[in-house]
Amino acid sequence: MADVAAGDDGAFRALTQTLYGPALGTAMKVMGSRAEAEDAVQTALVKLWKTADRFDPERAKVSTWFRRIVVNCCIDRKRAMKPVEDIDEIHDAASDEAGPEDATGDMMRDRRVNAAVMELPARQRAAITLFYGDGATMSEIAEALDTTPKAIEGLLARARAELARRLAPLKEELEA
Amino acid sequence: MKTPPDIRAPAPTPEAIDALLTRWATADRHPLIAEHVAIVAAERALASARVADIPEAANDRRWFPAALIGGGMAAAVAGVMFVGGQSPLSPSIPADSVELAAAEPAPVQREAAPQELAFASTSDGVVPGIPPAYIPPSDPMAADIAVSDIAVPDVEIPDMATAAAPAAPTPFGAPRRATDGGTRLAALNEELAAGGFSLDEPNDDLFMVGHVFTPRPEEEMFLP
Repeated sequence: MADVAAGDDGAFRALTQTLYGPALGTAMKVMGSRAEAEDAVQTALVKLWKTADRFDPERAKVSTWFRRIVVNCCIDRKRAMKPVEDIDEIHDAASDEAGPEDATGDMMRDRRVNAAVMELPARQRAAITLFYGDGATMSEIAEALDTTPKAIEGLLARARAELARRLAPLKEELEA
Repeated sequence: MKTPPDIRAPAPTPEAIDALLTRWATADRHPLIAEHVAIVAAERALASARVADIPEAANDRRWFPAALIGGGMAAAVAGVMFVGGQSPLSPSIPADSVELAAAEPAPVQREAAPQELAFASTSDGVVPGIPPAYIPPSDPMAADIAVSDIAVPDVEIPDMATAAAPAAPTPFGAPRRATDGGTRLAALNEELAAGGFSLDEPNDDLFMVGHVFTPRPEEEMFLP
């Protein structure tokens, strides 16, 4: 990372090869689209190159620091986008299709969960991604989202309550 | 399957929600990425960062479209003025301003040197090679200069009344006066309007006046 801060192109390319995959996976969860996620990661890479001299190795790992940049780029990009389609319309469209979801209940359930999560605000979705997907602690999520751990607890509680309300019809399938 | 509106199913337990969210958050976390994708992304990031770091390039991007549009408009205006016979660098007097033209002194021909007089033409008052000096009306020296004082032998100079009088209108508008600072043009044929002027059956004169463009190469093939 010190070489990147010194302007070493080769070090930046090597670091990008290490960070790109996990960053794209996180961005896809927050953005809900691979194309949008790639754009967000691209923006994050430019920020990484420009602000490499501000990195403090005693405070966090490079991957954690870059994940923070990626999440913030995703949130900024999501705020600039139009709101997504209403979840009820998504459910109706999916129920009309006579496709593989009729035979595979798991796929149908994943689509409903994904649609419900995509209805959440970008910050709540980022917190869920980091907490459930990366196993990040409240402090790490709070640092990534520029807030306090207490605020992250409230953020996750609200997200879970909203998802529980939206996914209530799935209870029978979950208990089966 | 949609839930009836009056019978709401109970919400899933927190554990079930946690399981759902964990399943969602951990799925597809490692998308398939081609080997060159990360390298291409790095190169694009380096290029973007370096372009943004060049202030001159950013300034160029800002003013270049405005300069392009402004330069194009200036060239178009200059072209229109050139075709219209006006110099874009010198002011001209409107041709239809009779009052202004009447108060304006006649153009004064400066006294030519002996060697220049050898090339003087006496046909229409124009001396080739000797540009006429224009003295603006506000110049007090203009009133003190008499035509006879500066007249060149055998060179016809129009008097003030002739030069300031507006030209007769024609079907194509008022011709430009010789004193308006523009190019001298011959008066249009006034008989054109009285001699059976018709756009449906144009005579040869009207045809020649109406077509001022040079023939194209393929049209020249049919010329005698």
